[in-house]
Amino acid sequence: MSIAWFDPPRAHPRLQHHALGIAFRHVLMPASGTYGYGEEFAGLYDLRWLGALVTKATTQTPRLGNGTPRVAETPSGMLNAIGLENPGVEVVVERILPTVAAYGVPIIVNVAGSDEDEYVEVVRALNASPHVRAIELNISCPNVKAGGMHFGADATAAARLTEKVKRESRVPVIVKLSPNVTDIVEVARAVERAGADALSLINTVVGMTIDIRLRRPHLWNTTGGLSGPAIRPIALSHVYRVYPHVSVPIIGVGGIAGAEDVIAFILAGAELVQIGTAHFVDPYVIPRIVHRLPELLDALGVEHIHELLGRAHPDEVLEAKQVKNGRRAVLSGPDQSADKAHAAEHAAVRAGERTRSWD
Amino acid sequence: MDEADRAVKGEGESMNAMNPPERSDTASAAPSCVPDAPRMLTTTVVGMARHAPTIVELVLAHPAMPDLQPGQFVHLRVPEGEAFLRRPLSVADYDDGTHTLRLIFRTVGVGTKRLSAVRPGDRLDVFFPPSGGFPMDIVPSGGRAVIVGGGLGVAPLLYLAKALNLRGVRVRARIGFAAVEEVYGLERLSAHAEVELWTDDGSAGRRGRVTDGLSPEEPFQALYACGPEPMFVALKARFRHDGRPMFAALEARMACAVGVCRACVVPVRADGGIVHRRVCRDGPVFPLQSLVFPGEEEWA
Repeated sequence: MSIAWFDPPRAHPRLQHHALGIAFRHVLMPASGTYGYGEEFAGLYDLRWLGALVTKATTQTPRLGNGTPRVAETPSGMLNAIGLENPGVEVVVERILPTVAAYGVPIIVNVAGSDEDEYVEVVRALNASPHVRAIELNISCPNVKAGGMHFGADATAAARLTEKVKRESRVPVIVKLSPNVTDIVEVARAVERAGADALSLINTVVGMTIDIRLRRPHLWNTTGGLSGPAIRPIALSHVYRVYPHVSVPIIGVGGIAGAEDVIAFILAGAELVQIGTAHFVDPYVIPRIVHRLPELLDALGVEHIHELLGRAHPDEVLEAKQVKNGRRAVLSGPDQSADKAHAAEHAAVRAGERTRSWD
Repeated sequence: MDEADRAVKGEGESMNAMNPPERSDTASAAPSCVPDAPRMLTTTVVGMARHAPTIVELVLAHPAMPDLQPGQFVHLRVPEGEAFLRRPLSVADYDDGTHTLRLIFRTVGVGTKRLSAVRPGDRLDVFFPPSGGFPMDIVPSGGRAVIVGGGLGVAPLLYLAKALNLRGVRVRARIGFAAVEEVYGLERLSAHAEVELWTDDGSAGRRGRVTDGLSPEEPFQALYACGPEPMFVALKARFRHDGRPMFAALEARMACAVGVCRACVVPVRADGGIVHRRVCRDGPVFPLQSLVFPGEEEWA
C-alpha cells in the first residue's frame, strides 16, 4: 500500500458527506485535543487528507493547564488531565487560524470556558474569523475545576449554555457531550431543543490510576479522562442510545482506531466520526483509514458509507428517523437517486454556487 | 556491545517509566504491522545486548532511515499491543552509512520489558518525531566542549561525543553513576572524549557527584548535559553567572511525540515570564539556564 502523503488526496466519492453547511471530503476528522491546531501534523502529511480539522479546546484567555504528570497509560488506553492548556482565542483568531486555513481543510474550533460568559466571549471572538466553519462546544472536559463537565452533567445547564452560544455564533454549533452522566439521552435532547446543530458523542470517561509504591494517584490532577480503545464500546453504546432520539447529526468519537471501528460507529448512527487517541499511537492514522475504507466498503457490499448509517438499529427506529429528519433523508440507502442528489448538492457547495444555510 | 555490564541508577522520572504498574488487556490501537510512512518505518532488529540487569541496548536497521541528530529521540511501538502508548527512547548512536540505530534504555515497566525481549530479525515500528537535537555548530572545529551525563542520561551523550569529535571538537566528558556495577558506555565514550568517571559510592572512578569536580574555570565553548534533575539543578547553580552556551536534554512522560497532546510540557523562563515548552517538539534539548525545576532555589 502506498500513500502519497504530501499530495492532495484524490476525491473520496464513497466517503464524502455534506452536513453543517460543510462539504466534508470524507467522514473522518481528528478529535479535539489530539491534533493541536493542525500545524504539527501539516509536517507529516497534506491536511487535505482530513474531512475537517477539529482544534484543541480554546478559551478566552491563555491557559497553562494542569501540573504534570498529565497522562498515564491504562489497559488499551490512556488517561489525560491536560487542563485545557491553550494560547487563548485572540492568538487563535489572529495568528493560528489564518495559517491553518491555508492548508485547505474545513476548520471546527472546540470552545471551552469556566462559565457561560467565557464560552460566549470565545464564540464572539471566533465570529471575527472567516476561517471557522463550525464550533464544537466542549461541555464535557473532566479536567478543569470550573466549567467543562459541569455544564455537560446537567441537562438544564447544558441547554442554557447551548442556547446562549447559538444566539451568538454565526456558524453551526456542535455540542460535545460527556459520558459521565446518568442519562445521556436527556442531555442530548435538551441541547438539541436548545438549538444544537450536531452532537459529538463522547468526551473522555473519568478515571484514575494509583501508584501503589508512592501511594498516590499517577496524575497531578488525581483524576483524568480515559480515552482510547478501552472506551470504544462505551462510546458506541452512547451513539446507539442517542440516535433514535435526536434528528441532528451525531459525530461518533471514542477509541476509534481502524476502518472497522468507523463502520461500527456509522452503523450505530454516527454521520461523522472523530479519531482521537489513535493519533498518539499512529500519527498517520486518518490517511491510513481513509485509504483502507473503500476496500472495506467493497467487502461489505455498499457503495457509499452512509448506506450503512444507523443500520444496526431495528427497522422501526430507521423508519421513525426518516420521518423525523425533515431536513433531508439521513438514510441514502441503496437508492441511487438519493446519492446523486447528495453528490450534486456536495458539488454545488464546493463550487460555491450554493451558500451555507447558516450564512 | 562492549560495555560494562551492570544496571544504571535511575533518573527520577524516567522516559521509560511512563507505564503504570499493571495491564490486563491486549487490544491494540492499530494493526501491529502498519505500512511505512515518511517518519514511520518498520525497522529490523539487528542486535540486542544487555549492559546490566536493567540497561538494554537495541540495534535497529532500515535502508531508508532518516538522519538523526544527537539529542533526538525515537518513539517505539511496543510489539503485541500489551503497552498501549509508544515509548520514547534515547538514541545512543546512529550510523548514516549503514542506517543503523542504537537505542539504550532501562527496563522499568511492561513496555520496556517487552522491548528488551525482542530478538534479531524481529520487526519494530519506529516513529521519528521531528524534535530538535543538541546545537553543535556553536563549537568551532578545534574548540572545546564539555559533556556531563548521569545514569541513563549518558546514552544520548555517547552519540553527541562521537559527532562532536568528528567535527574536530575536543570533548571532555564527565559521567556519573550510582556504583561500579551501573557503569556503561565508558569504553565507547573514551574513543571520542577524555572521560572522567564518578560514582556516588566511589566504587569506580572518583567518589561523589559528577558535578563536583566541574569548575567554572573549565575551558569550553559549549556544555551539554543529560541526567537526573538534581544534576541539572547543580549545574545551573554552578554556572549561574556564566554566559557560555549550555544545553540540557530532558526526558518526560509523553503521549504523542508530535507536539499536540501537551503531556510533556516543562516550565521554561522566557520573555520575563514562565511559559510551557513541549519536551517532544520544542526540545528535548533546552538552554540549561532557561529551565525551571521544582524546589529549585529561586534567585532574582
